[in-house]
Amino acid sequence: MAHDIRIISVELNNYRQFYGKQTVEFSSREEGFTTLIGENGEGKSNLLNAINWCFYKFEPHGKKDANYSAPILNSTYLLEVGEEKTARTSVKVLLQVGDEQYSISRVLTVLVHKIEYEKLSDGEKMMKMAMFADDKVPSGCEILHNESGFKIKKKIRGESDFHEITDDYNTVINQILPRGLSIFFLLDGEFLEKFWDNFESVENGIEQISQLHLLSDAVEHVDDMTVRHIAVNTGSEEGILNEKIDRHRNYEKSLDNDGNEAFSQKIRWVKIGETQKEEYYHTTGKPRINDLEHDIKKMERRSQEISRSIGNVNAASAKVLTDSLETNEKLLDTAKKDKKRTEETHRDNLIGDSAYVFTKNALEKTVEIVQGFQKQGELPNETRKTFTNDLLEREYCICHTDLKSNKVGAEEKNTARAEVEKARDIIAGDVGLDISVKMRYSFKDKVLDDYTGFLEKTFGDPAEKFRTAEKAEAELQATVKGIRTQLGSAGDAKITALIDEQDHILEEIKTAEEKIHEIGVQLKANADDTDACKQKLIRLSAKDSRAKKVNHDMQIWDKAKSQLEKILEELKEEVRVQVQDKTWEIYREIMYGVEKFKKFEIRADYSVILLNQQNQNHIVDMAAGQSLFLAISFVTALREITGYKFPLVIDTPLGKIAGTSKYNLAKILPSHLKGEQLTFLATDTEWIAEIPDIGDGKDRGTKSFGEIIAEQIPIKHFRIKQDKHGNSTIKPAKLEGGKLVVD
Amino acid sequence: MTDKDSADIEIAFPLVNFAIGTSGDKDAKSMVNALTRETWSPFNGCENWQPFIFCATYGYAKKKSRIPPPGSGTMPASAFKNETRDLMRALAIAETNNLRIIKKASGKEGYVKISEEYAYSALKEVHDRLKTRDDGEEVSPEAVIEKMIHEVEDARKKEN
Repeated sequence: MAHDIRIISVELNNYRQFYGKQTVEFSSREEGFTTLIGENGEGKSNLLNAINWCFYKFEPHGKKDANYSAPILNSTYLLEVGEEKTARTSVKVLLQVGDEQYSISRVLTVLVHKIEYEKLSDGEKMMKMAMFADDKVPSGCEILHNESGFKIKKKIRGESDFHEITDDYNTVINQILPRGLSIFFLLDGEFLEKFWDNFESVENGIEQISQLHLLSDAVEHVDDMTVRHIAVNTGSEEGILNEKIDRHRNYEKSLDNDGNEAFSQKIRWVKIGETQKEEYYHTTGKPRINDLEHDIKKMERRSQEISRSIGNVNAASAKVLTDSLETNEKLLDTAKKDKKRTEETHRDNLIGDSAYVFTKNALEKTVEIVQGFQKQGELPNETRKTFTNDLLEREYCICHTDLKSNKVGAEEKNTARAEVEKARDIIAGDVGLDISVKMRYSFKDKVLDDYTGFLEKTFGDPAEKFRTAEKAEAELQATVKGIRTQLGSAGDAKITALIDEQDHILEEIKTAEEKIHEIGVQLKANADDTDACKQKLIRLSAKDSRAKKVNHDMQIWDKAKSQLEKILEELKEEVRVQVQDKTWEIYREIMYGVEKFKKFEIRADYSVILLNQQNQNHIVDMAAGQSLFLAISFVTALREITGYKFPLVIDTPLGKIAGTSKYNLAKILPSHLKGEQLTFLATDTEWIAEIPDIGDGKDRGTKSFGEIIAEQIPIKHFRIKQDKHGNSTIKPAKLEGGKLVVD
Repeated sequence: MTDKDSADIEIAFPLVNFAIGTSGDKDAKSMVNALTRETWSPFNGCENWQPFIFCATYGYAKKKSRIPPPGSGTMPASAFKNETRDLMRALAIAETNNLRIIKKASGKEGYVKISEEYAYSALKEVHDRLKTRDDGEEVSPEAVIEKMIHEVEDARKKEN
């Protein structure tokens, strides 16, 4: 859906802390920005949740804790309704999509019986919650499904009333904004803050973009078709082959015998102290490799965090050691890569080019024979053929013999010419021998002309480089270990614990990498065996026309699958590069004049590099402001490339941003991201408080973020206010004299 | 020769020619599989043509008697990239003293057959030496290959 989309209004009815009916009418970009000001806990994130719940029955923002027990219906309202009465919550979003307006609403209706409570130890009571499908409501309430639901109405320009659409609602809403992309448009501060800590944000964004996941589904579907085979007797040769193919496929996709996704007993890695999510690794195949690769990235990130934390724990005594640790860890990382690279070159040369050593005698013999032929003028035959053709064309020999044609019927009566023609035909048949001339030169150039040099260059130098790299790595390993020990014995228990954790992580990474290798080898073996089984099946089915057809179809599906996989990979690559380039273009535009970074790259594994002028990857060390700018650039790039013109609603965007960045952002924001409807959910401190002087020498007066923006573009303000019962209301407000005044 | 994916097509050596199945050499299949799939092997992750040409040239260098593999056909020359084909051609020219053999790739009289016979004769020795690291004498399979190279070089020097 490439039309510009704008949120006209959001109406909440007794949704979470919003008591009664609360409406927000949003400014279009032409009219300015919309800002809702409220303190933490007053409902800013729940406004994002309300839109998500309305669209997808999904609330991604805010507290993730399963014990979080506030019901989706406003508690005060629920208690006011009374027993055996119906209570209702709803969210309605009005959207302008091109020339059409959509009214999207979701309602949840419950019949309130007797609300149940749990007694706490201090005598207080807590409302008990119950889950009904995806809805959490207080125990003692019954969901009335026939009075609950999701509805989309539409009207086009000129029409006065909305009318219900006949299309599938979920399809329509996903055309407006696919659920997977909503986190990139309805942005919360926490997500933005940790955006670059988690490569999954980047991966999800790129996967969702251009509906790539649909193509992945198509590949999956075609893959299913490749294993459809004709029913045969169990135990027959065909049956055994089919079973083997199925087994290999199950291994590849981590499926059990019934075709269900299979998980091992091993719990996915989480860092110490993080809530255990009870996620398990897939049992086998590509899903297991995917799990492991994701976890390795997380472990590496955690290891980097630990290295930084060590320096922060006991800064005075450990500073020198931690600096040294960091430097040596970087060197070790490079040394490991060097070792791997030199080892691979050395091994490749050994297994590949040893053939030239083993066949040296044969090469010499070949060169000798070819040279002999060349000396006698018998090679190359192509030249001889050209020469004889030339004689025949000129019709006389270099010895002046007449070669003029004298044909009677098909027979050449000029015997000299007939002889030359015969010679030419023999020569033409020997043109295939000319390749030996090339062989002669290539053997001489590559191996024989300087055999000692060849041995040195091919085997000696790479072996030496490998051994040097191996030694360097071992020395650095020892150095790093020594520094860690010194840090540990510096007496700080916290440092010791961090070092232990890091050691443990490094072990886990090693184990995971070994497992990936092991699965990779097994997958390759299975793939070879599957091919062999399929070939055998084709041979066996030669006499059975039905089986022959099925196998023929299977081969076509195989080809279709590999073509689709190729397209998918190419498309992913293309989209990844597009997003990368667009993000960098936007970031440089926003950060105009700042030349701290010189390159931004999203790599094939979705890890991200932001290279500074010293050629260091700065992505994990970015200041909050830089991180926010880069994240917004990424999101805007997604928006431009996908064509989904959904507005941006940004929750708590400025929390950790320093004065300078906040000031710069306020100055540039109104003139950037043109055409984008922007809404901010901000705290008083973020929006109204004076931007603090952080001593950067810039005189920026005493204005707040909101005031600086308001000087450039109109802002429609709202105040979210919470009463002593925890109920929030939303009222229009104005920014006057540095204060927000409710109308 | 260092590219692992540079053969024109993947070949199922020795499935094609060692007639694996009811009457072929299952041990040969198992050894080639081990060479390309086991982590101890330096050919781990390679395609089958790579251990094949290694075995063929090593067999020639060690002056092994050529042993015809049990299969009846030969592998297509197109399974190999040009540099590898040139090595097989050179080996065949040296064996037959006849340049014309390079015009015929397949069949019993073709140059590929000569390499197949050498490969088959050397496969077990190559497999065993790498797997056992020469009965534990060497620290790595790569060291075994270095040793193989030295052995061939030393023997050549003695001959000269």
